[in-house]
Amino acid sequence: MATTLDTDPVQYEIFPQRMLNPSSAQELLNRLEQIKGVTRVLVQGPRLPLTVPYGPGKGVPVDHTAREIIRVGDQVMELQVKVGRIRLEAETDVMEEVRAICDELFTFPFELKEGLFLRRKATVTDYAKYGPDEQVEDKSIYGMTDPSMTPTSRICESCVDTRE
Amino acid sequence: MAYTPQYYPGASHIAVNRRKHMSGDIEKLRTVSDDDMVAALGHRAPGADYPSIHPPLKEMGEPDCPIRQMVEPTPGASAGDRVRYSQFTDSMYSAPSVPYFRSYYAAINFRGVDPGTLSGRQIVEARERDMEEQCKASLESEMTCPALAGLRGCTVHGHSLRLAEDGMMFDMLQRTHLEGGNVIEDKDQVGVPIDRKVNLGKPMSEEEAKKRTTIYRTDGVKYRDEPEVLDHVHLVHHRRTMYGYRPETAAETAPGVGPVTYKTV
Repeated sequence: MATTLDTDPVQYEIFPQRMLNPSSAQELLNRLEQIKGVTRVLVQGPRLPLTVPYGPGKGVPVDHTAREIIRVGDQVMELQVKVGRIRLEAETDVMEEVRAICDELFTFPFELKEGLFLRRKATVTDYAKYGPDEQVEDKSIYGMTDPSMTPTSRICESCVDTRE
Repeated sequence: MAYTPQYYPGASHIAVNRRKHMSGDIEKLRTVSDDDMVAALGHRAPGADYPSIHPPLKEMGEPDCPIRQMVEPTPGASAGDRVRYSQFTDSMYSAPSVPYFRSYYAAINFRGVDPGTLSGRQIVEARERDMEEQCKASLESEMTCPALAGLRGCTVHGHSLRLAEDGMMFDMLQRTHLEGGNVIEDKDQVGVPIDRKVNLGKPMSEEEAKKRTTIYRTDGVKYRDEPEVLDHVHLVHHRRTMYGYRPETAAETAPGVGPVTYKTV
């Protein structure tokens, strides 16, 4: 059973009543990134595929306007989801700063919750992806990746034989 | 005096809207041309003839059958059209219609249609021109808000997701988008781009959508606030559970015994 200690970082989830446009998501992520003590931020939402995944139109390009390239801090990334919720981890209590930013940016209601949203311990899936816990240098990767990522893309070397 | 079916119990505007959808007494809000709708459906090229799977019934010579003599074939059936489908998705955020009432609408008001009701989508299969007639009537009427409902042959999961910032229901394939205040459809039902922009008109405002919706919601009219509907649902449930296929044998709910009350859990 996972036990939360006082020394553990705090985690928050922002759940806006509307799904965010890429520009709003970029603005929010940049503001969150500037809060002192925030160590991890994860965006979650329904996937925006590059091509029609099934049906008679399978393979046809989608060209979704929400699949945009955004800039957060000094990193440039392509949004692969429509941003529905944002989870973040901070070393100190930053709830009021986060709430102030959301109040300022959102023209619609939102929920802000504190809880455990990003896992702290490796799961079997993490073992398959990254290998034994003691060999993983950056443990902050746990809970930050897409669970439906193909196993062959990042598989632990010791597991390759059994999986194939 | 001619019998007027009531269709659905209840006194709230939700119940009134449900009755309107079932009876077919719905308001036309927009006009979509035949060619635009055919392009959006994606079954044949706009303006092309209807492909057929058999010769017209008059040329075929039908067997001597009393049922065939009694039932007049629909235009699609007499012409030998293919069976094709249209499928609608309605957002849970106060869309005007819901799959059940789309199905009631199709089954009560149109002949030769086969409605299929699912949690997030509603499909109508019929001969091509019969399906198009039903689809056009649904698309142009108050049953459809272009932002909160849409023609979607696949990937309908946006119905249960939060709306986007601009008020549009999420669509993974982005078949529709807002352009100059109007909802434009530039892909067919299954996400294949079409060579035209089908203008579906302005989306309903939040207030109008709440006024025209058939969905009981806690942020609108609550289902629990509709005693007549609850009573009717309890009655149907009681008769079906206790008396199976012989509800008329239910003595305690027979006509003349007075009102039957059921306690709401």
